[in-house]
Amino acid sequence: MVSKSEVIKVANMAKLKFDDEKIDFFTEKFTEMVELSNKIMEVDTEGVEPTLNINGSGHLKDSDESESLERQEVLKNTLEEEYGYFKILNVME
Amino acid sequence: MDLTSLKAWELKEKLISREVSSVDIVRAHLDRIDRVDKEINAFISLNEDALKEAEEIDKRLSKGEELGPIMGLPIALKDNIITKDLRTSCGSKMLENFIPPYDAHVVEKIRQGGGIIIGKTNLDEFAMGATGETSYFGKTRNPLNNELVAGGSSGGSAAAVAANLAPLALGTDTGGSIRQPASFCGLVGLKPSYGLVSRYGVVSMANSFDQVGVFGRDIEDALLMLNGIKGYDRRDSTSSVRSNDAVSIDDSMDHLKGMKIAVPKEYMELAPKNEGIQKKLEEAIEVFERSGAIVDYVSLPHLKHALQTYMIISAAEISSNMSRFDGIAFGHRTKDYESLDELYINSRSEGLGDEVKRRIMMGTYLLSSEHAHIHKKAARVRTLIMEDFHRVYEDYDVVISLTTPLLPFEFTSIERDPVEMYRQSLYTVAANLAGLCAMSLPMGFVDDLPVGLQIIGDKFREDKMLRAGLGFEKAVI
Amino acid sequence: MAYKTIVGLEIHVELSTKHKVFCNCPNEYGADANSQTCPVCLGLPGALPVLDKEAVEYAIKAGISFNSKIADTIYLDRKNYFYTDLPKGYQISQDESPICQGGYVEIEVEGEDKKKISLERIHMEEDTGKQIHEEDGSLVDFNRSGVPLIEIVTNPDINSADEARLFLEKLRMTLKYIGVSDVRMEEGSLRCDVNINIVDEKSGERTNITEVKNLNSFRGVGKAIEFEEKRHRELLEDGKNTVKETRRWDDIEDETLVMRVKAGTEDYRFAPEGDIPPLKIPGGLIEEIKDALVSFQQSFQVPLHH
Repeated sequence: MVSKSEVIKVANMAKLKFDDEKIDFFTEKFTEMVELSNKIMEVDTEGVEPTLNINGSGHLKDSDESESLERQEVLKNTLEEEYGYFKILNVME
Repeated sequence: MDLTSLKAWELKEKLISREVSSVDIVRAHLDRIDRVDKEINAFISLNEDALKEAEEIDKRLSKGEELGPIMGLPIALKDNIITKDLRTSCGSKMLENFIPPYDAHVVEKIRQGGGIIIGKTNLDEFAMGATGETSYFGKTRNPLNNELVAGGSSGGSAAAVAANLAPLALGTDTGGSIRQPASFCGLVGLKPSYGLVSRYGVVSMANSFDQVGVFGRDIEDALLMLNGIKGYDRRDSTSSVRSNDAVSIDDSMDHLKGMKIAVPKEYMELAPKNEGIQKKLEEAIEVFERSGAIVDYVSLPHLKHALQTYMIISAAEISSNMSRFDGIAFGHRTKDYESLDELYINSRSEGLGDEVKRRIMMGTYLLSSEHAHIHKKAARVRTLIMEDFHRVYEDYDVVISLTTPLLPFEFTSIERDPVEMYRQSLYTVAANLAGLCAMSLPMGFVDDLPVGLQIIGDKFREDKMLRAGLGFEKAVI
Repeated sequence: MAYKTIVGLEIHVELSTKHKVFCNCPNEYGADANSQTCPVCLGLPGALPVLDKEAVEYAIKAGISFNSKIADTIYLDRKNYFYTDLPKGYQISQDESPICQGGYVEIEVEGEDKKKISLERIHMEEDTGKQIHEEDGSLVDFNRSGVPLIEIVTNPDINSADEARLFLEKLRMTLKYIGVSDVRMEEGSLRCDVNINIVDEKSGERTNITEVKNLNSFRGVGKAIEFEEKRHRELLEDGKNTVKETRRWDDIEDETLVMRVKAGTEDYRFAPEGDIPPLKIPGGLIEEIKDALVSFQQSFQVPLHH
């Protein structure tokens, strides 16, 4: 049984907010989903490694050439910029 | 002559013979989009330079340049594939105004190959969904019956091809998002083996499952498109060197003779409620057998956990992949905040839709330290599922099943029930879990609605999967 | 009353590779804001990381120089949290399987025997961007985002401000000589956090650990340790205890100030980095690096560990 306060805690971690009705909705659906998930805990996985690769080892990069984006390309999708920086309201504690 | 009703390989023949130009082809499709797409809503954005690009291609062809496989053909791209200078929205308010500064690898390949990107297609928001109903840009209707869904999450791409708005389209498939809409729209929908097609520039949903795949009106078209996008990419650490292996099918008539085909017993036990659909699978099995293939019912014992395993791992990955949407460097930023927390919470809550938020919540819960044992366990069960398939492929060439237990359904009929949504992916998630190639191809109609046959091939054995598909396609013509 | 000071250090070192750790943006200090960024280090949708060979070599070099055990496979993990300078909302780091385990740095305190400060681990991770705070806004620059770091964590073997300074000097000298970093604290290519508490040797009573951040020089590290030693001691003598918290060092006032209460620590929701499968370190690479270091050491006659 997932509690309402637990849902709120998860929402804070995920940086999301919901109105009370939605929190209740989530609490219910969450609980259902979680109960389904718990069934997986019963599967016998003795001696089985977790899947971390689908296809085996990846590769390392080893390049001589540097490449970056032009600054105006970098900044063009932000709401506010100043002197080439991304700008947000002062949120220093 | 209606160019939009022709398949890609047919258009290619006409380009080679100079009967038509690329401009003719692109114009015909743009005109049709103009007339028809307001009904269907397959496209979110159109490429304003498409005709200009077609002109360039025609110029190159007239100078004697050899026609590449996808050269001069209009191609629709699912809107979670990054296109430089062309809005890429992922069907979300969060990226409503996002103009990427770079191209995905598959887009570079299309451009290099002379393909013309005609537009970006609609999708469930951030590829999360199976109905096309969660897009910020409205729902996509099934061209075969516009009261019904086109499927998802690549609903727009499927509808575009099915409505003759483009001969070829790209989608992405994480748990069935190409195959299910292919089934719902009566098309071939192919998800390649994991690592065959680069994910660089494909907005991640669940990164150990996602693959870019193709829609075509027949297998030859699907293969044409696949060859246009596959290949090793050093910018994607999960890209495989095996993706440079050639994938082709020879034209010999006897594709199916002697082929060994497995049908998972566990899927037979999870048969759809609609008996008509199950019957179609039985008919398909008869077709295979009549053509000389051997069909056996085989047990893959861990398949019964596939859906839960998929649900858990994909949610965990999604929640992390979605954290970059914070409104700072790009994307929707709230106007209403007085602290850093509020900046995040309001930007994300305003910009993201309900289904996306639900999966982020689920994944965040699963990644949290008290519950992390669940997804760690699921990763082991995933190994068991992979091993089940590995064992089967030692003795069999392909595995077949239904693509989906449902016929295309009415809008809002399964809205708001996440479990029902997931159950649609009952037969499709296994291929994503195990990194296998899989495709859906049309196998007839029930109640005048299309039903798809799923063929699952071993990793990097697209050749066998396509052989089986082509053999079936030819046998039922 | 005799008190024993117990200090552990967490040091972040920027590796002086040509490129950033997951993309090919140049790894250079001092460029114009956001002029050394790309889809990968900006965390743009669709961008993917690829691990840099040189960064791996530098990390291995460092581990060998400190006598650590080098792993045979590199496992990368995501450390999930939200902050303005963290574009993806997670940092690619290493959780349970660091590239180097154990090791030590030998120091010589005047008038005493040589002492080995043992290391718990060295792991690889990517750096974050930088922020400047102005009156009307915070400005974010992602040039530093994606620069390769190694994080060196000592065991709590350090017992005085002097030992800490000697340790840092030795660490710095070694890293500089093997050529993996500029190790300039004033430029941020070497950063140090202190974890400190004290034990009453008679009663066995321990204070709660204080973490001290924002240290900008080795001298600052020494002074912060001395300040904390005193603060902890005075609290114990008063029958009180420290709160488990993070404090920042104020170099002007020469004191530590509370930053945030450490209890209820952030849940980083560690998970494997799915975009980079575990990488087997190419056979022979470790030996190759070891051999190169030995001959390097010999040519400069710098006494490194063997």
